[in-house]
Amino acid sequence: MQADHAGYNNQIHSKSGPEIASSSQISLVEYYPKISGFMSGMFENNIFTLIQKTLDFRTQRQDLLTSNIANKDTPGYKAEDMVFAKSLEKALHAEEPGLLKTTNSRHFDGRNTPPLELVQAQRIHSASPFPDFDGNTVDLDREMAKMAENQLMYNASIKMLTHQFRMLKTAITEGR
Amino acid sequence: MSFQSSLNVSVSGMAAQRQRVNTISENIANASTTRTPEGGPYRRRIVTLAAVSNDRTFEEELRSQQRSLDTATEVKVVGISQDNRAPILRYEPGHPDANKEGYVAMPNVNIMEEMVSLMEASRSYEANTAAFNATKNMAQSALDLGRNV
Repeated sequence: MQADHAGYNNQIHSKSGPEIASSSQISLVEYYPKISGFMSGMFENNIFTLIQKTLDFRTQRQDLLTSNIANKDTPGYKAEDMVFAKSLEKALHAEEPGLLKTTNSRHFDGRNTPPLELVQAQRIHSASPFPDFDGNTVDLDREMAKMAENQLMYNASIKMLTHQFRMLKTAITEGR
Repeated sequence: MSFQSSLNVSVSGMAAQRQRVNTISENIANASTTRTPEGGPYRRRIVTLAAVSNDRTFEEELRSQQRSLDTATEVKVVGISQDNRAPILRYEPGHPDANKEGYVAMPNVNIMEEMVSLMEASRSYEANTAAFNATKNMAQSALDLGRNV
């Protein structure tokens, strides 16, 4: 229904007088770049990529932390953890334009850090200072604390994403 | 979904600890068993745990190779072995299994040791349940994503 209605309107416009048609064309040319800029600002925002990456890393970290807890009594098991905050932060700053001027999206701009989508997390050994006699380096209290933190931060990221969606919806419904 | 592997790891941990508790119960129950099918007194049993990368589908394997990440490590009971310590000899001449000198070979089970292991296993089990619940909570909040927008 809605689409038909819009099509009908367009037809009316195209069939109307020459002076009206030319004025609408001018306004389109004038406003198109601004509209596209607004749209890309809204949907291609790196906030979504950032949150998506964070959620991805937190899920992987949860894997590592549950593995540490499950292998708490396995002889020789080395506790592992994952760090990603630094590299994400670095990539976020790299979103700013590089030193070189570009006129095409395929030009190099002189950035030496990977874009946000390609950031990898680093796996590290999170050895307890007091390993067991059997060589196991899992410190249960620390692992539980890390897991609680991971869970909280995951839920916080989800909340942020929900807020982003809510803002989009406000814009789409024109604040109503 | 990657939460599946976290949940599997926690489940493997719970299964391993349950196996440990079973074995410890067996040791305690047989703490004074002097006759076994193999002959001689009961010998203490020990559960051996090992870390194994969990079974994955082709897609998961491919994805982990791409990321060069293999994050989930399950725990598995790889064997139940016997404690090789010598049986404890107790002087009890009236016992039907006593030798000529009146000593009975009793199982090499130390109740204190078993109780400590039992506590450790049950705490580890609890830790795994907590991990499971944390992962479940995360998955739940991901499921609720977009609700009440």
